[in-house]
Amino acid sequence: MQVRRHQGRRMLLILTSEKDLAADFLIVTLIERGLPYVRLNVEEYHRRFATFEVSGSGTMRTLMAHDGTVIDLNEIRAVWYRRAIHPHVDAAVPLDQRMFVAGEERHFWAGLFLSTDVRWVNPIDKVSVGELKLVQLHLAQDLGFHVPRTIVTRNVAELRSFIVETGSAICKPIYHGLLVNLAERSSAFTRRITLKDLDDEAAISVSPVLFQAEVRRKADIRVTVVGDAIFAVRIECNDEQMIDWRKPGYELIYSTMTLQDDTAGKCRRMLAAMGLAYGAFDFIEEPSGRLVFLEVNPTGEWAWLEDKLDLPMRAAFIRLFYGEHA
Amino acid sequence: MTEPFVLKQRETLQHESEPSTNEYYDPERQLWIDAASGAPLIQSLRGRSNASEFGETLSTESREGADQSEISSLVGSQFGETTMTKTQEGHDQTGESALVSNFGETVVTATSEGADASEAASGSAHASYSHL
Repeated sequence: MQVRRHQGRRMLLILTSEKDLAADFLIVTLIERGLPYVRLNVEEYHRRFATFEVSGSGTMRTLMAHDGTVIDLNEIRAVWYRRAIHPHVDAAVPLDQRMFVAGEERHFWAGLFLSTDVRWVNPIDKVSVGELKLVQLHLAQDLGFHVPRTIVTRNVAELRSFIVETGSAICKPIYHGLLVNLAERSSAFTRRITLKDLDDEAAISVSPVLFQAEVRRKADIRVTVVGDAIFAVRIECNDEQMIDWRKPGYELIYSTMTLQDDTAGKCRRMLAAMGLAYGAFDFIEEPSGRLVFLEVNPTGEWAWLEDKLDLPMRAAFIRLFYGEHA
Repeated sequence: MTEPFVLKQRETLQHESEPSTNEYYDPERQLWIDAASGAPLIQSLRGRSNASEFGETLSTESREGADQSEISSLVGSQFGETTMTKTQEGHDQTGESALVSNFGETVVTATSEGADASEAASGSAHASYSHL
């Protein structure tokens, strides 16, 4: 058995999916700099051979590479957690046993990685809690961010009052807006709502909804924190009616900016409180210049900003994963 | 059936293109390669005005759902498709909760195989959406 060695714990483990081009974006630089890495895609877990063994001499963790050599996973220094560990199931498994096998696969792979004492960017459990929008809003308010008045409920009477009191409100998903099934691929973007929209009480009763007071917008701000590095970008759109810049079709203008009023410090404190080393924050910049917190994403995208503005984001990730002297 | 409020006025998205013969995933380097140049696809896309359709749909930009670790992992996965297929075929939430309830009642007085695991006990249908 030929085992690959990298002179100690130097390797980065990338947990992602096959079609994650942001991972490609970083890997190109890792190759250029000769930094060791191994990438595992959610599509291939069920085809890969890995072994975990505990014995009197310690714990062994190995993964077979595509060329047949064996990678010693004890050499992992850091894990870049991009995509949740949801292994596929071999098609040979009967349909009614696939859920069971999926659980076996998931607990094997997750146990294999989580039983190591390495840095996770970001830790699975912290991502799980950190992606909860209600947790974010509560924490952001506690840390002194300006947070839009928000209500989440299935109580129509309270939602009516909210619209009346705020004057103008928007609706957005509590988790995410993507709907993909065999029949369609669609997205529920943030949208304005009126009292008339609430006439369909049944639609509200089947699932809680999140309303926020609409914030007057001069621009959107994306603040990306990568370890000690922080990148602030202003995103402007010439459509004054725009309320969700991620919606396809808008022409957006990106520019770098300097954060004021301890916003950077608050972002760092929020990530520290959430146990995260990386986070992509979204703010609205009001006409007065005040920033209003919308959300922070523990696995948010970033590569397109480096590409558009030549920000040294990959270098920041490499410092985070491999240390200052990589 | 009642459509949830948040899904009203949702907008149809383009289906993501699959790779053409001009692009392939290199398991050795562990990234996508542009067959014509032999270079990593991501480099090839950056230097080209006529980027491939596949590359464009896999843009690294922030997109709805793409930023969430769970969602981007499940969407397009075999396991996720299986789950969604079941929903399409009428295994609705009511049916699944009834199943879960029976399971819970059966094991409530004893430590049984599976009952001690939080996800199994809370309903296997939902386990796919839970973090570890």
